[in-house]
Amino acid sequence: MGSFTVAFVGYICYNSSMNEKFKNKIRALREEHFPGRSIRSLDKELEPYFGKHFYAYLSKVEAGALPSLDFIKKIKDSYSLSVNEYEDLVKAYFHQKFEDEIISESQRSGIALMPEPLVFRKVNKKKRL
Amino acid sequence: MRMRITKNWDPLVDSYQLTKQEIESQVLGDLAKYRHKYNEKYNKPAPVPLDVDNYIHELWGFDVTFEKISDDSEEEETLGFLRPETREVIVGEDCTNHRRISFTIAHEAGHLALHGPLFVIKDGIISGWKSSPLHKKTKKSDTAHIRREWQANVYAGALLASRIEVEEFLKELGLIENQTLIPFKLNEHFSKFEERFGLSRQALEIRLEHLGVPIIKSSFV
Repeated sequence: MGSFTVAFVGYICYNSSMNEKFKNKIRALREEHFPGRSIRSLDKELEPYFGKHFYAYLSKVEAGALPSLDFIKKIKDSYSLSVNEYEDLVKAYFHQKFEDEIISESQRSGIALMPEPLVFRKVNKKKRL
Repeated sequence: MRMRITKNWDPLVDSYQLTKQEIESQVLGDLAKYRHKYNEKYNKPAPVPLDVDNYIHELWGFDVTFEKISDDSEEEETLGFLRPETREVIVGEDCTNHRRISFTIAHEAGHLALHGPLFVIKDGIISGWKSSPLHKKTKKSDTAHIRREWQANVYAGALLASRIEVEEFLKELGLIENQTLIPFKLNEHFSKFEERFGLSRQALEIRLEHLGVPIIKSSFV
């Protein structure tokens, strides 16, 4: 029982770092393949694969949201990933997927509290800038 | 930019006054810093027109994330805000107009550049909002809020259409002859301005007015 607990805790820690690695990895791949360019500036490269709102979707993935496997395949083509890069990304993807589906449910409780933002950019709905 | 603040000054309740010229000079300094940093890191010049998403990333380490933003008022629409604890600029995902998105990000860059006292800074990195003893919403804090938003808008206009770039563009359009600016109808050139600077008509008019560029406005736009 004792060794099982240790192994399980070890696995959780391992996966937590993998989870971090997925969003970091996908961001690092973009920065490596398109150095010095923001997501929105990649319309010519990414719009044919992900559609008009590619930037919204990709920004969410880089912020930690888990995409579909099909999305990963499109990343491979649009970023021209090498076989090794693609394999690493898929590995990181499945580690996060596993954590999100099985382990995270037991770990997460309640809603993450975020401090209230102090400054908003608001516009009058009738008079926009 | 120099300012004198008193010992009891609370950045969440009060704010400091900045002139358009002071904000303009802050933008020029930030742009120079960005171009230098970009050139050193990527070994190529920074993109023109400005990639404001990259600008905010290189200077403050903030990334742009698109999320659903629910409106808390019927009259006002929230287009974006800062989430300093995760170093993100949140932009409403319903907004698909790239000019508006750019202006929103530039506006938030204005807060980062001009309103440092609002943030907790650890090891030179912004890591959250500065917490303050609970204070009531007063006329003073409302004025400070309005002032900060105006300053951020001026910063955004100056960032997306810097004085030097506007002057160069006016020369390209043949609107400067013998170092004299010829008053022109904005309608006739707006699409070119829009393509170059990505500002909406209203934002461009305000920016040109700040720069003292004489434009002939049409009443039937």
